[in-house]
Amino acid sequence: MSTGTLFLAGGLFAALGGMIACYRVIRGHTEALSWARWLVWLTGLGTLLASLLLLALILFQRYDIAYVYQYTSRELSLPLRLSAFWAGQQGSFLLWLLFSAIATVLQIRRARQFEPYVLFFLLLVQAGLLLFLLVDSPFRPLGRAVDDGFGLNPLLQNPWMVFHPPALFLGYAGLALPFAYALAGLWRRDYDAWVAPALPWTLAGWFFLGLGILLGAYWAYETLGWGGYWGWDLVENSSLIPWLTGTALLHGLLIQRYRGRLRHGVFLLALLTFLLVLYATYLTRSGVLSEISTHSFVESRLSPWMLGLLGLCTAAGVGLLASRWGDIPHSPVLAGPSRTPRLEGDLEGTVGRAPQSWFSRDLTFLLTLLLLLLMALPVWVGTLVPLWTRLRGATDALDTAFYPRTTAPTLALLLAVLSLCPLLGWRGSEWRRLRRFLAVPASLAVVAVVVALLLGAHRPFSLLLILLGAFALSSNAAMIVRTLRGGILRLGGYLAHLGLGMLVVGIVVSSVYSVDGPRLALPEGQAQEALGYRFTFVGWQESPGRRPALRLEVEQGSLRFIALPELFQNPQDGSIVATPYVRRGLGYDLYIAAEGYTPPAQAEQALLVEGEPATVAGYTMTLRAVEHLGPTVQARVEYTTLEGSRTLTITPSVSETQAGAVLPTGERVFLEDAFTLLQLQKGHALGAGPYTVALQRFATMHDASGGGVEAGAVVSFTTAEGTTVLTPTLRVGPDGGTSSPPVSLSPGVEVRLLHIAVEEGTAWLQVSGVDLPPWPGAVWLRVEPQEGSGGTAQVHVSIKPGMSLLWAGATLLLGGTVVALVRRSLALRSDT
Amino acid sequence: MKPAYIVGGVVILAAVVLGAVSFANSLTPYVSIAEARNAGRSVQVHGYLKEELGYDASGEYRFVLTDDRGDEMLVVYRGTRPANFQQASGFVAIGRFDPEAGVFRARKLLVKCPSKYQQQSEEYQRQRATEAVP
Repeated sequence: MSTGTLFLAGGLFAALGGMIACYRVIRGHTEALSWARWLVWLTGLGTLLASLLLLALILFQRYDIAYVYQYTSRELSLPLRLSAFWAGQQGSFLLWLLFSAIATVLQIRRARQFEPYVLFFLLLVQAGLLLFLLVDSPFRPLGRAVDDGFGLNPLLQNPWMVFHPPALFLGYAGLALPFAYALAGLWRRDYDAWVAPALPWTLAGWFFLGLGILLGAYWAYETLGWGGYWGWDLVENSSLIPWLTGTALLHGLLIQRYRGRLRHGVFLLALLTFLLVLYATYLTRSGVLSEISTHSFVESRLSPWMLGLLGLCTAAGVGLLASRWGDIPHSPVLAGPSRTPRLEGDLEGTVGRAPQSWFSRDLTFLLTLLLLLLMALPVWVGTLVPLWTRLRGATDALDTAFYPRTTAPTLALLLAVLSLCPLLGWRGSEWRRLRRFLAVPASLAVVAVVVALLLGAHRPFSLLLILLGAFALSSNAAMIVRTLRGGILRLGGYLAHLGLGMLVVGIVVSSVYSVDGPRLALPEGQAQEALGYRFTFVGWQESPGRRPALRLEVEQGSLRFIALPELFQNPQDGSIVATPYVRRGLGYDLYIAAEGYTPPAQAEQALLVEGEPATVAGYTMTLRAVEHLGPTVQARVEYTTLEGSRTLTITPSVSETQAGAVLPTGERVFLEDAFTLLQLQKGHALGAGPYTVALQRFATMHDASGGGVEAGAVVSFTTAEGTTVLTPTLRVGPDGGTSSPPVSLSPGVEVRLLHIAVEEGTAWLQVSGVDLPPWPGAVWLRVEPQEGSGGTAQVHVSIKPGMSLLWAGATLLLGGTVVALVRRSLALRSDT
Repeated sequence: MKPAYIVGGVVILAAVVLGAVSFANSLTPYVSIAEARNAGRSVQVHGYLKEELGYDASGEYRFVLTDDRGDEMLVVYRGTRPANFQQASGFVAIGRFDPEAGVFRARKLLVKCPSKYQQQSEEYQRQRATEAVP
């Protein structure tokens, strides 16, 4: 048993022991509490030691460990090497476990009356994760000696991708707390008090899950080059679902904390959100979707264990909730003023305070919860389709257009509610002031729509979303201005809602109104116009330490910049990666993705045999005569163009500057070699000049040095004086290149093997230095491409409007949460 | 009747109806090339790349798809050629057959590349290493 396994197994036993101790505490044996606490610490210690061990193995480059071998290599920089900790499945589970352990230790004493219950459920989750790690261990040895690792996938070598998994797992770890607290509340029949300590953890978990999703989307946009940030892929969706229900949970916790309402629903949401986290883990990590999703993980043996944990947590949640359902006090939802007189901050008041008001804060909260769940529902249904078809053996799949089609109308309603939100702080009698207050945001929303119309937006539904998004944005902005005096901590919700409005406008504008430009084939040095920009391909850029890229000069009026869209082959799986160049702007991004590169044409060799037409440089050429003029030799070649046939006299290249014979398309042609071509057939002796030539047999093929193949033909040359037997050979190198080393027949006469076909029994010989009538003369020509002709770049340019709004909106949405988190944490502390 | 129930009921009903209708429309069956030609609706065809014909003048990408039965079909895709097209172990074209033009108009191409975001398994690497030796 390796040290790492020992730590993990120790952690697992401590976790299971801790659960027993917690259970004894719950049963009234309070003396077991100190045991429970020690065992929680011990579980955390096992996790911490295992994590440190994996980190050390990675840092000390222990490539004899399978995990280290698979995800790192010698060339990795230190930060990337550290990030390899969570590059693979086992490491990311360990990270999740580590975050869980920290969160669990933090509940000791702080959870007060809930402590044994909360610790019990958190230890259950940790035990599950520890079990996963024992079944599929990151400490497994590789089983063979290696000197270097396989390396980290270059797609993951990106700062956004480095922080994407830890953010997700912080989110997962955080959302386990409302789950544990809700179950604790149910178990203790303490239906209200659990909400306050669960709230900051929910906010934190929700924030990190959202951050993880955002980082992933940003990475996809910036790195993958397909031009989008969200593909409704099952992996993306599976993390979106708990985020949406988590959003509902957040609002539910607020309404229960400050209004004492909706207890059943909030319990349900707290359980549901974490179960969906486990479900997401199952979908993405068990390999159940590896057949279906384009970017799922490899098949894993963890599948049954994951289902086991999911089943256990579901059973605990459903069982406890069902047994307490009738016991949970029902305070009538949406009836009359709040039961609790305790009103706090921005949650005060209802418009008109009428029991059945259409504009009460309770109603808007309830609608928000409902709409969020209705948004999550179709996405969840979408994840079921592949599972269902897999079970049934059927082959249906869901078109991703399903998701925007079903979520967008819900989103519109959600925005409408969101726009009403700030109104709710107002009393019904103050309609005149309210109208004055809303005049500015409303007119701003109308202005946004007019601007969108002028810029070419025309679809009614998109315009509606833009209107509602802009209204939500501006009314929340107005509320921020109004509340500013109340201190920055009160602004969290408004900031988040403002961000959401901005995010929606950004999503609509970027997805509906992006302009897909043309595909440009850019020959080096020649400018082309597209989308109002002027693109010039300057050259292929390849330098050590950097990824190969196309170097483009982009101009628009006085604006000039160099764009470097990357194009390289992923050495790990052979796929082509086209990381785009994104020129960010306030209004829109210019998105330049490389699609291909054709290197400059190389000089090529062509064989022409007297009287036989052949295609050379796109022309049909025929060798008419080889003329020997004293020491020099020249070839007369006829070729056809549209104007008729022309004759070219081709001479050998003597100096670098020599022009040679020039074709109408600019290629220059030189004479490389003039010789006689003998086409031999086995069993047929031929007369050639003074010789009788016969192909005797083929020399056995064998591997030449360096992995190539060599073949030979045994040929006899007979004259009156006697017979010479030669074996010229043809070598095919490992790279496919061929060479025919010369063999001397007589002084000044050389023989080469040009072509060999063993089955047909033929071989072609090149004999230089002597005329061999009646055999035709032949020449090797060298065709050089036109001077200065470079490569050609293929790029795809597009314009993505609203991207800055989208990212800014998402950032504000999450930033607002941080403010709210600080506020709720401080409130929790001041309560104690 | 409380406003909450009216509003909630209407919203839920509308969402469920819309969701069910969209779902029925979006569920596209996997079919063979022969079935795709006669489907008359949006389908998914799993197949392999037979030959790439490149972009035509209108910027549409064209290629020949072949399936396990050996049928062939010309596919036209309005969009960027997926980067790892050549290396893909296979892919799925989603769209519908256009009987007039005799081509399959793909709305989406899913490249099957299970190892895209995950390192290949060691077994696979070992296999690849042994393949390289003739």
